Amino acid sequence: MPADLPDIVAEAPSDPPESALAQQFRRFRRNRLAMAGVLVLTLIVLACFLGPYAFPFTGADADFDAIGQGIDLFSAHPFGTDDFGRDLLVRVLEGGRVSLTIGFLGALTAGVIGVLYGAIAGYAGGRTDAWMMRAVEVLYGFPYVILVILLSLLLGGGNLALFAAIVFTLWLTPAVIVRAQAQALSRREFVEAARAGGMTGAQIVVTHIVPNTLSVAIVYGSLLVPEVILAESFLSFLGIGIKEPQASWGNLIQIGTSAMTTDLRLLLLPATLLATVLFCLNFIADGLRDAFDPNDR
Amino acid sequence: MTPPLLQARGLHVGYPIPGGLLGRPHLLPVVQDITFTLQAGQVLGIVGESGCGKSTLGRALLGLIPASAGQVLWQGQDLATMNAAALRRGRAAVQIIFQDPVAALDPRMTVARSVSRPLATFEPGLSRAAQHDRAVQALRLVGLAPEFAARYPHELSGGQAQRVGIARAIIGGPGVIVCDEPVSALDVSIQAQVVNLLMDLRDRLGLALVFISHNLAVVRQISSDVMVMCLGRAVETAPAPAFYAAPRHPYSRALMSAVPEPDPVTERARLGTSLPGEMPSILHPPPGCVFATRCPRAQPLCHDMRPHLTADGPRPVACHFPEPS
Amino acid sequence: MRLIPMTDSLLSVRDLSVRFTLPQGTGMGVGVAVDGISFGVAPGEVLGIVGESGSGKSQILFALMGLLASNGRATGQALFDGQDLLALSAPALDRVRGVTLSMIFQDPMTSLNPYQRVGDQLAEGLRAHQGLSRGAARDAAVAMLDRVRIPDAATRARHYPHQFSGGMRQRVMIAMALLVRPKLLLADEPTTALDVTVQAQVIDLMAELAAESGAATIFVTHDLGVVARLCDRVIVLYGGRIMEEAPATTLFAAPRHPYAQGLLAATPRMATPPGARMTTIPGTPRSGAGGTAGCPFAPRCAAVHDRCRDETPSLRVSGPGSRVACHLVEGAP
Repeated sequence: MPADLPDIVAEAPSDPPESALAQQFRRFRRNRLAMAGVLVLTLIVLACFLGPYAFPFTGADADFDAIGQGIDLFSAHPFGTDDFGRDLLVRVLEGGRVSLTIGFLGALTAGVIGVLYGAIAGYAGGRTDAWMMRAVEVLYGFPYVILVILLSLLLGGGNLALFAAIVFTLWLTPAVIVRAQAQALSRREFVEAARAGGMTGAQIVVTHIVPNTLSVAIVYGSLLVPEVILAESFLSFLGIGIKEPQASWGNLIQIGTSAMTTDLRLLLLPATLLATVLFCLNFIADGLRDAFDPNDR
Repeated sequence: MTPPLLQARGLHVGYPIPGGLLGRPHLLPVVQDITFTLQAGQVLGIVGESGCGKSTLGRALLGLIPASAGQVLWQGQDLATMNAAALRRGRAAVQIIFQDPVAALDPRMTVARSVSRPLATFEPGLSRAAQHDRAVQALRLVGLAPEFAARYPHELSGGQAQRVGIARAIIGGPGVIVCDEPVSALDVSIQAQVVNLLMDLRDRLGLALVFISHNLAVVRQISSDVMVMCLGRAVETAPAPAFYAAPRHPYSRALMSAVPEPDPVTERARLGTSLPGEMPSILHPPPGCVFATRCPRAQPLCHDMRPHLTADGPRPVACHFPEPS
Repeated sequence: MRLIPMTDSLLSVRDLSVRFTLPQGTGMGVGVAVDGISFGVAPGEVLGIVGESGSGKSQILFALMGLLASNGRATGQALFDGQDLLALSAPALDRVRGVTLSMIFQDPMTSLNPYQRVGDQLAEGLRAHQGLSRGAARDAAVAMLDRVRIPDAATRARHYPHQFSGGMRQRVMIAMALLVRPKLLLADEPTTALDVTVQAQVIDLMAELAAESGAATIFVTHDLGVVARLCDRVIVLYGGRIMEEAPATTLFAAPRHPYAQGLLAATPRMATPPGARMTTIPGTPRSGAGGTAGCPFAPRCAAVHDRCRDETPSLRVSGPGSRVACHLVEGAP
């Protein structure tokens, strides 16, 4: 191949090449509030998943010698026990495992479904898009709790059904958001270039559309996690979610609320942890939104 | 006799307009009745202002927009007769570069990936490493050092990004490249670099080019033939030297005198000679000649009856009262 | 070094610099868009400022109008009508902007308020600054629309911007800018986004109105052809510094600075033989001044010497009304 064409005189900036994503994450790391949120959240996650191993008992073990014990940080039960003698701290941490797992997994699942659905609808356009979005609008119209109860019953009750039901209602918003982004992207020249390069629609959606909706998806995905946790908590609070004896923050809060007048401890610990996690997630989501702001590109 | 690399025959392209609540969608004609032939080494300059349909024509030539009537032929084969898979593979032969060079690159992909991606379709079976090597080769051909391979689009200047776009277009060994206003968004000193590059590649790789632009002066540098478009139709086609020596259509003349030249003496003399009025909208095309409302030579006949592209000799022109050739 | 007497200038800019503080983490602390330029504008003249992207040409206008982005700072002096524009307080600047100093922008799509009728937008300025009554302002607005050759001006005044084409919107902008009878009009690439024939119309209009109103104009553009058609004097900007300044006829006939020569040679024109390779300037236009010593054009200059890289050339008189900043051009010290 002949090689007598001149090289460009000026090279690109001598800094190492940096993808836009790397730049955005660098911006995120500079946001102190968001990073604090990440830190605290990580600590809570570690505590919930590893903490219970530090105790010789589980949250199901009833210690009949210490029923209704109050907060005594130096005793075997630092935050006391409930009416059955079960250690509160361990129950809250175990409940955290359930709530956080459902939260993150649920958000991930709803996010993936939503992103794919929205990307396909946005790229396809025309009648396909119209029908796909009609379906979304119909689902939006269902009363949320009734839908969850129906689905839960349809899928035979139990935790998996609950999980599926929550995800089923929550993928709608990411789908709508990503679809709008996908529509805008589909009009950009690099998508035309991809078509001119012989790529099929499916290849374009996967290679070009979805990665470029990532920033939007991540920002709204981080808001999905608190939504899922809250949804689970709310349903468990209503009694249709996680059932006793398994702990989740939702049913712990439910128990704590009914005992609020007599024993505030039962409410305080799970509620505080839930609120803290929600704060952290919101700060993180804010930080992500600022970091990924398209105007700053 | 090898068939021409690219041919348009009576090409019409329309945009579907929704027909309201109960009405049927109808077709808004954006490109009407375009015919031309392109051989290797030829450069067809398509000139016109916004709304003339030149960009739509460019995309129709690539099959990115379907024709509503007429044919587009790649090496003698009608696009409409090709099945989807054959069309996708056939795209290696006819490529495109865009007006906004940075927007034409996926912001999430490195330069090497953007340039080599078409090879996955055109030459399946190439390893990733081989694809990367081909990309570096293509970058070299457009004058970019191998260090550019790992860069991202937002790190490139306009001129560099356009070179990347050209590298991507040539990597599959095309015969024709449609250039849609390739230098309009670039600085003057860079425009010249890119135009020179296109001319080099035309000679080195035996390419044919369709050079779409609103700038008659740039078109003149590179084109062997010129087609002037107005409101979707070709109003004049001619070999470039003849065209620039003596344009026949009043719109061609108006375009030429409107392009400002860096020469104060001629330019000051042109002050005050601009054509009044604006082009009619494509939504409400006039019954007669599309240029009649602005033409200094318009007669009543021009407003009533649309002139067709006369086929007399080598200088077809769509005008009732053209300049003699 | 004072070179051209600016005592009778309408606008006298001295040592104007525009700096931007860039966000942390991008590796650059301060970006210099304009690096210590000085020039003057006489009453009634049309001055063209030519440059490519990154030359800082638009930032000059934004600095004069007080429209710099929040992370931008302008230093230096800009004496206009007896006041230093760069030192004015916000209320004082408001009494100048839209009154004696007007600006038109590049993008006609976004320069007008989409939610307000065009006639009202025109009348707004008159009522605010000249205290005209509603009726009188409306009449003046319609008259101005007519003057800029918008057909059916009275009807069109009641239309919204989206009902106008790009060329017409730009005329509306010109109408708005000239309605207040400014002494100086700043134009930031007003024809760049327009079709060629529409651009010709707008240029003709601006020449006509400028002559009629006696307003001076600073016309920023990258297009040498437009400059040739419209401008009396030209400043060539590169890397935030003035490379050459001359009357238009002198600059186009005999440019002295290598960059001006290169730019002229690279501009395609009907006279160059077709098929030949175009003359280019190698490399990429410099974005802003690096703050380093040396001529900003040195990396791309074909005639570069070592001195050019170490020592920033100063602007020296090179002929009647002409100045050049180049070590290789002889000039009066």
